[in-house]
Amino acid sequence: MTNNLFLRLKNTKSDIRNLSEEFDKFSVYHNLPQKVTVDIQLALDEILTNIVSYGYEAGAEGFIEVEIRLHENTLEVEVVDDALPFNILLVDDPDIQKPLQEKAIGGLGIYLVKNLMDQVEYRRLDAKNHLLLKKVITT
Amino acid sequence: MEIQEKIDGATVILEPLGRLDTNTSNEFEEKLAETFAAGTTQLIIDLIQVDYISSAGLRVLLMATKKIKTLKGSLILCSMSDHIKEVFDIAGFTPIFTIHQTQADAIKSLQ
Repeated sequence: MTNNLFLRLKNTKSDIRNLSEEFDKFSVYHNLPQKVTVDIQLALDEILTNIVSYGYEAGAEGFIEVEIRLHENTLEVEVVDDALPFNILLVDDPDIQKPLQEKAIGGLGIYLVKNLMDQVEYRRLDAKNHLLLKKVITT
Repeated sequence: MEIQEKIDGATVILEPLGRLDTNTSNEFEEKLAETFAAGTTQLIIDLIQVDYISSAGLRVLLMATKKIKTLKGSLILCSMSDHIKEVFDIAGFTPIFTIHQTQADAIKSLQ
């Protein structure tokens, strides 16, 4: 297994599960610290679920390309999809101070991604969403 | 998803196995609904076997704690990994739950 993992997925939940399993193997093979693995698994879950759930008109087929690149001290995850334009950096943070009864769930997944990743970048290019996440690996 | 269940007097202890994410949170939600429908008002959710929790899992736990408050019961979470604690902190969930280190502590607190 090289330092890169590349998968081209359909916009379906079963393909997301597939990615998660492949990343588990990648993580074991490269002996990634547990913290990095679970943070990335969580980020992939949140981002891909959003794309599949909200990114397309009902019944529309699309593709999502995920590339995971391992460098010496960082892990990069690049997600490219042909869904509707969606820039996660523009989503307002939920008000996490709200008390129980008013607690909002909307936007929570994206908020977790922004806080667990060390860097998040977005571009819209060639009618596709390009999202780049970086996670520093500290052992 | 496998969810182990134990009964200690009036307390039900649920122990989900694996990850509480988009895939598995529906099943967990159903299990909780069954548990409440059976009349349980004292519930411990032991997270010792949960690798990670995404917003879908947080959503289910949030609904559970709101439900138990309407039932005037108790919901305790225990045995959270460092990662889960971090996610709870980031999401602002820590202050709204009763959290104990171990299952034994959780059981004791309900006596």
